[in-house]
Amino acid sequence: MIADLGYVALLLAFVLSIFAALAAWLGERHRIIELVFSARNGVLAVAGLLTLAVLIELFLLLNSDFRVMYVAQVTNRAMPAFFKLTALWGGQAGSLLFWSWLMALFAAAAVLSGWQRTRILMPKVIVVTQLTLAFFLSLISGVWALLASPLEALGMTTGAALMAEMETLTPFYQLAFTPVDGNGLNPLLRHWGMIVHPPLLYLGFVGFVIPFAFAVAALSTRQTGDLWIRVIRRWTLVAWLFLSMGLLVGMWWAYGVLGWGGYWGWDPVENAALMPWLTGTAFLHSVIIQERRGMFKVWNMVLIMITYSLVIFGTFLTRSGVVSSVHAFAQSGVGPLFLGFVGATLIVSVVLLFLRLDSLRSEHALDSLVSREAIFLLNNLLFLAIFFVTFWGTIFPVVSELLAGQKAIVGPPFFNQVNGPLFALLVLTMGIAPLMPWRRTSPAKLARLLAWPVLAGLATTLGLLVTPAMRQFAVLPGTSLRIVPVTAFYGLLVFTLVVIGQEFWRGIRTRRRAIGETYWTALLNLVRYNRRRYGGYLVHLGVVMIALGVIGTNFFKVETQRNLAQGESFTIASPLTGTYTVTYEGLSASIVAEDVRRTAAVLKITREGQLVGMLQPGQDFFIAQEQAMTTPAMYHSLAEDLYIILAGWENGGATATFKAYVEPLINWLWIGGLVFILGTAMAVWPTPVEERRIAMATSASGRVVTARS
Amino acid sequence: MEEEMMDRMSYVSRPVRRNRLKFLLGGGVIALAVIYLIFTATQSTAAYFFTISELYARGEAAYDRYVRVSGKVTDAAIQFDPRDLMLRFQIADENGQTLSVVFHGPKPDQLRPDAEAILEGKFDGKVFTAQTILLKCPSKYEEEKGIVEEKVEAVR
Repeated sequence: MIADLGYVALLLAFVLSIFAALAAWLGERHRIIELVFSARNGVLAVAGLLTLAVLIELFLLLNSDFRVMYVAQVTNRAMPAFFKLTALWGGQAGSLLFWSWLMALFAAAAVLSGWQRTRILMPKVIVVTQLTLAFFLSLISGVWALLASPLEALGMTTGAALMAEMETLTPFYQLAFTPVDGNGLNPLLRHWGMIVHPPLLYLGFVGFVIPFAFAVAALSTRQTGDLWIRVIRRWTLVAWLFLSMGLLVGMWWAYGVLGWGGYWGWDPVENAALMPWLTGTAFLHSVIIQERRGMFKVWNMVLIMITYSLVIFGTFLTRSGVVSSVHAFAQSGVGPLFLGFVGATLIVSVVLLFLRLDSLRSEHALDSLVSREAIFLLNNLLFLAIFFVTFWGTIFPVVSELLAGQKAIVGPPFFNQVNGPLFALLVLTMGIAPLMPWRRTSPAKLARLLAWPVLAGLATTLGLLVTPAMRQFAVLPGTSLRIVPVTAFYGLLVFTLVVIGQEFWRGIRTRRRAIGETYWTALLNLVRYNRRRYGGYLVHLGVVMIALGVIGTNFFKVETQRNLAQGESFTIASPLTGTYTVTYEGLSASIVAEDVRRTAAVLKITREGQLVGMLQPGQDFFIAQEQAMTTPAMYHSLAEDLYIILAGWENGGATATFKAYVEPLINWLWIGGLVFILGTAMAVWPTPVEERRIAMATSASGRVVTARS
Repeated sequence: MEEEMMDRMSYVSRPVRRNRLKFLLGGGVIALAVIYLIFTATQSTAAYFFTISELYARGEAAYDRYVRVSGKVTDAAIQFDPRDLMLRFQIADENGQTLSVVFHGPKPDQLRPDAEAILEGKFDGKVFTAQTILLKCPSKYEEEKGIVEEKVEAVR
């Protein structure tokens, strides 16, 4: 009964989203203001209806109404209530509903917040957001199934079958009978990381639709001046913040739960989330140039369009099962529809861009190769290069099959080999950019600006190469390979660090001289009144820390694997802190949750003879699913993690097999992630100055925005 | 204001055009370098993805090259020696061709007859030495079509 109500809400939302898009389009075209208002109300109603649909779905999940197919697929009776609720995004249909709901909320927020200031852009914003939404809703409201019989009549049987199947993709689809119990959620997803990861990622994905909508609106109404870029910068930052958090939490989950000692595998689904992040980051940088110098306008449009397409493409990759992957949802008819939608948006974007090229003319030309503009351009090229490499590697199986007739794959070595140096160059540009004056500079001035950071960087690299005591930081365990690139990278990190420190120091010194503040007040006020700039530096600091963790784990990781009888031990040598001794004391059994039993090995850990603690790596057995899941145990420190997995045991635990890793510097990755997020949040936070700028841009706009501040 | 005017005027002047050429050249060099990197890395790291029949059909050309092979785990005995971590089993494709596999590492939880296995490693003409095993098990999730995967790597 109540499931029917949910379905009706979903269907109504679908119809209304199309109506809103049409009304906004026609209202703008024929200058019928009532229609535009009606479209706005439509947007709000869609958000309300989808909220209702989500609430109903949650109610069904919580009450274990297994007649609803989705509920039976992703939950069972034994599951704790909390996981029943989060099962909303545990499967295909539910996560699409969740995606649509977030999209509707973002669209409503964009329309409400922009109604006064950016009225002129609103109709097109409504058109773009609602059409995107309508596409997603069409997937889960069963409407594509209507195509099944016409396709059948045309003799396209496979297409017809795929479309007919779409009927069951709605989260409210009801079975003819009520199963006694459901299947339950995949145990791997029963972890807090997997509970917050998808919503964060979806918020990021959905968030990027808004800047795209504004970009299309600005283009089609020729409002390509200062206003739209200021308005969407904030939206882009918000989306970017969520996407970054989603990526970081995803890495954390992979590291803590999947039990292979890594956090990033260049898996297609990971790449799907990384690619829009890369182009979005490029956009966030080059948009600064447009604000300051009125340049790169076409480029910025292109970047935001690519980012939007990648968001849709990413959703497609995770859902279509086109490339085999750890997290891909099952294969379905969704794939071709997504590809069609991406294709259509790309074509429309390119045509629109082409028609409006004249209004995107650059206000200045590039002056010199040695200028901040040029460094930003280089930074953009690098981000795009990394994106392209990732894209190529991700679709390579498909490309090779099409071109060579034989499916071939490229794995992590490919991505590391090509993206590694590119990321290093990116850190370099990140270090230099804040020092570079706008427009042009003289070599002498540049040398003065760069002197200290360069000296510090070189000293680090040379110090690591020459000092015997420091060799452990620079030499791969057991070899002398890659010593130069790795030490060079450390030098690069120090260089960047000094630049950031210098920037803070300069700001503080100026304030002290001008206003006579104490060091701490100066620092606080500096950050408070220039949130964007210093938030940005904080993000860069986070990147340096993350890079430290990435180098540590990529080059200095140690692993070993042993089978032990009770009382036996093995050793594993850390490149940084000393040798660990791991002693197997026996197995223990415990009950973790109503439906989960844990078998854990008790391990005594010592380092250089000193007791560090006990670790209990284990295996959780999920009774309902009859599935075992490995639970790693870790000993954390700032220098490294000791990471141990119980791989198996024999004869009731008389012997057991372990896999152990030393993960040098890994925790800097997570700390850096926090700093990164903090910096972004700081930059997003509205400042009075920024608000005034937007207000100025609005008042200057009138009917046509041309002025630049 | 004056600066703005200067900028406008210099828009067509010669130094700017020379500048633009510099930028195009610089961008071009970077683009070429990246394409070269992609090209060489693809060549050196790409691994063919074969069925067992395809692997046999390649003959010696496929020996001792890093490849990916997929098939279903057969009913033949799965042997595992926990002391030295040696795992032996067989996979088969739809044509009934079988391949003997040896793996040095822990036995994956999901290794059982009928599991879909994707192996990466080298074939010497007799035995396939797997470096990684990726198992996709028929699962109850997502309408029986879904997959739960498990990946294990050999000891180095």
